[in-house]
Amino acid sequence: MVLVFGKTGILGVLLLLSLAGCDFRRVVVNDPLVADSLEELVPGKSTIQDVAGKLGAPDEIEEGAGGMVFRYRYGDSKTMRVNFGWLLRVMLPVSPSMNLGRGEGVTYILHVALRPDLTFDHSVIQPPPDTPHFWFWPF
Amino acid sequence: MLRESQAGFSQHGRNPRGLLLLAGLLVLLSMVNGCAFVRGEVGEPFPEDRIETIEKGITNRQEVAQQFGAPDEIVQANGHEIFHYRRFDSKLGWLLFLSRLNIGSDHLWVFFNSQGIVDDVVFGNRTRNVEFQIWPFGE
Repeated sequence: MVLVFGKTGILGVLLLLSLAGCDFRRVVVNDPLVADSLEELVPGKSTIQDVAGKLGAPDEIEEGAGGMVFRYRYGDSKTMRVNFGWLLRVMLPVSPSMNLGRGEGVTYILHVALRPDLTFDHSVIQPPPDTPHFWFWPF
Repeated sequence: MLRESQAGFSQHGRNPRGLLLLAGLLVLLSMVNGCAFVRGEVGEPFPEDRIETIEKGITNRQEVAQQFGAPDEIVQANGHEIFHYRRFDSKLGWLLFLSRLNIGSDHLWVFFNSQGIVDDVVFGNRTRNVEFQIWPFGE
């Protein structure tokens, strides 16, 4: 086999196999929230349509203190998994599954509060403490 | 004798080195994963021309229900009854060990006053931005 593929080929095959034994998965829900787009909204003057024109329709509407609250969400999650048993395929006819994996997910939430006359009052964005990363070590 | 047999082998177009290479490639291909593009939709799209038929101060609750069916949710907020219609679209791109799932949602909110007449309409179409992507890194 070494004669046919050469050392580089063997290394390439091993690398490919090791890569095939791991995977990177990402799930993104909706578009990122851009707080700058709210700067043009004027409290007491901008209407629901002005808010919707900037941010689109909210994901949720709830009763707020004396008005209502529009809630927007953006989700991002990253998962990585490595199957160390995959490498044994080179030497063994079977490949026992030996997986290590980790997933991290965050949700950004934007609240837009409206007054009883349904004009814009204020907004609050809740950025997560940290952005998700790809990493396989679960411990 | 061995040389004769090897020569005979090559003459018939059966190069053992080539066969070994082919076998190696087949084994390699059987070990790596393939690719996939998967789409999932929940709910019917909202035709914008149908949304335009909803007139503020004229259209009533019954007419909205005839156009869009029963709402997914009814929210009470700030003296308004709000019909909420949702639609989700997701696109998964997967190649070897990389995958990305993008999910987008459309929301139609119809606000009614105490007489059951449309007071406001908020519609957002985020599913048109949903794309098939494979690369999970970066934005």
